[in-house]
Amino acid sequence: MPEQNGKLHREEICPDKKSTLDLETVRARVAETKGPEFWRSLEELAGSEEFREMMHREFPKGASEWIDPVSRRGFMKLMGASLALAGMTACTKQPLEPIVPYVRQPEEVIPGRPLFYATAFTLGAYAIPLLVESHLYRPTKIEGNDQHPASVGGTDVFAQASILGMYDPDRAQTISYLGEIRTWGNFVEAIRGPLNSQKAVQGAGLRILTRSFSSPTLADQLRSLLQLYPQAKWHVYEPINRDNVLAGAQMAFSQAVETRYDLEKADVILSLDADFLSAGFPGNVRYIRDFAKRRDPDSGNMSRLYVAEGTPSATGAKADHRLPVSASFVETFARALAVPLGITAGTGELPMRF
Amino acid sequence: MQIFHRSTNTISRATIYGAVFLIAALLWAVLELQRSPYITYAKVVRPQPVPFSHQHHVAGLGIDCRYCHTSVENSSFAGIPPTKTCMNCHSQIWTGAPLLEPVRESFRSGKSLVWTRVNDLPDFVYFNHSIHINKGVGCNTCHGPVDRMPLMFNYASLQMEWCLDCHRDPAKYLRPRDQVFNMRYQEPSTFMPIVVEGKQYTDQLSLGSDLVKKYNLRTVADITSCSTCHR
Repeated sequence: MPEQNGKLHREEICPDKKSTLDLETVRARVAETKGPEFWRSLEELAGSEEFREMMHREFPKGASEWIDPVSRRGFMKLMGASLALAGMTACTKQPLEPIVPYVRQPEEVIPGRPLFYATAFTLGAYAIPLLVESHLYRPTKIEGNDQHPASVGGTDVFAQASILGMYDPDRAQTISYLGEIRTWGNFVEAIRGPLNSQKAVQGAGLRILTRSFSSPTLADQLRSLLQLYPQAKWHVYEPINRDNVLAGAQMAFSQAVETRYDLEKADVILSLDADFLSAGFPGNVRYIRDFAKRRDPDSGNMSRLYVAEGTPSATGAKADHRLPVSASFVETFARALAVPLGITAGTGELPMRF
Repeated sequence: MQIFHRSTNTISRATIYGAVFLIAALLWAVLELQRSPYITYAKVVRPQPVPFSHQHHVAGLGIDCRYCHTSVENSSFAGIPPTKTCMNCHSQIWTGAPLLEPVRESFRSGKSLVWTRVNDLPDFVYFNHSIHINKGVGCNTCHGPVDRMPLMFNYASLQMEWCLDCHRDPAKYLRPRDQVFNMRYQEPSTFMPIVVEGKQYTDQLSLGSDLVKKYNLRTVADITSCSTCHR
């Protein structure tokens, strides 16, 4: 091959190429490289001035990518490798774990087996009997108490969710005074003085605020407190309450009584804006079971449910016939309905409803 | 003109061919390491607050496993004894021994003793002791000769392959239920046969396969399915 000064010109090999290739430089470059060096053409390896100029002209951004330490390609390689190797985190030596027994193990607890405690969930003044499954004294799951007639094993959504209230981080774990932790002894000491001074005025300055409850024990305790402080006042506030229901019962039965329904015996049920199948209605878990017992179409005595209500509800969804009425219209509707039912006399005509 | 010397032909062929074997060898080394006591702590004594000797208490004094590990027959977790179990005896014997000071201190202060867990499975595995006991797997089948251990260590690697070895053929390891807590049980042989319900057995496999039927074990397909342990 023709050689000129030890340099081989490309024109000799490929006559139509005019650029020069300095093979000596290329050899020198390859000889001094230590690690991997990637190149796409011999010109690039030579690193000639013309090549660099051509790169800059052709790929303005690409030219500078050359010296970028972490290119997009490098980044993708790193991330791909990290993802693939991430599974290897399990290939570590298992660290030494402690195992800590009791000092005095309570007799009834078997580690690994749950214990069930009978308790009740209260919403307002109404309770649902529960069995709480607990593992090593940590409550984990709410179950119904199927031996209790008030629920025959049913629970509603609020009862099931109440387990989260146990682990609510906002739940107070200690007594606090003005934001600082105090003991029960501090509280008793703090309240002793004012209570003693109240004894002189028979508790005229004492007010007790509670929510609605139906616990006989708590009622008894409050009663004995009020005997100690006869002038004290006990206020009850329940945001969502059945005060109107009790007021209505007072009007109807001259005492504030709660009604209990035996839906298993009912052939026809009319609900006037009473959502008795939903959570929050007292006794709903029992009503659901009793109602369901009479809903077998093959039994021959399937019950019928009429619902007149405003807001769509679960009871309305189960109704055989549902009449949407606004809450203010329910009384008018009931009065009009009383006539064909033979409860009152009258025309039984419904005015235009809105 | 050549950039690379001719010898690179041979070198590249040799390295590519040899790299396969090299990688295989490295992989084998890693897997052997993974099975070694370095990783599994098998037969490695772990540090404990008190040097409790099973050899003395079980072989020496004859205390049954269940005196301390109380829930092994009816729970998934066998349990280790509370400090009170130790103090049942040690409030009356060796009452002043300095070796037992951590136990007495724990009982006095109400702070539990912090032992190092020896038989420890990863958290993604569910292991239930009671089913194994009730189907005739002996204590020392898995835990080894505990009654001859002056300090507790893991007899087996407790790796999945070790568990599967039995789960794939339980007949190899089953024993009659009344022998489960017997530390000196020997598998049946011609000069020491085992009698179960009148029938004499001279080898483990025949005894085991009969026990599989008698104790109503589930099929191998069932007990080797993933969700049996990885719940």
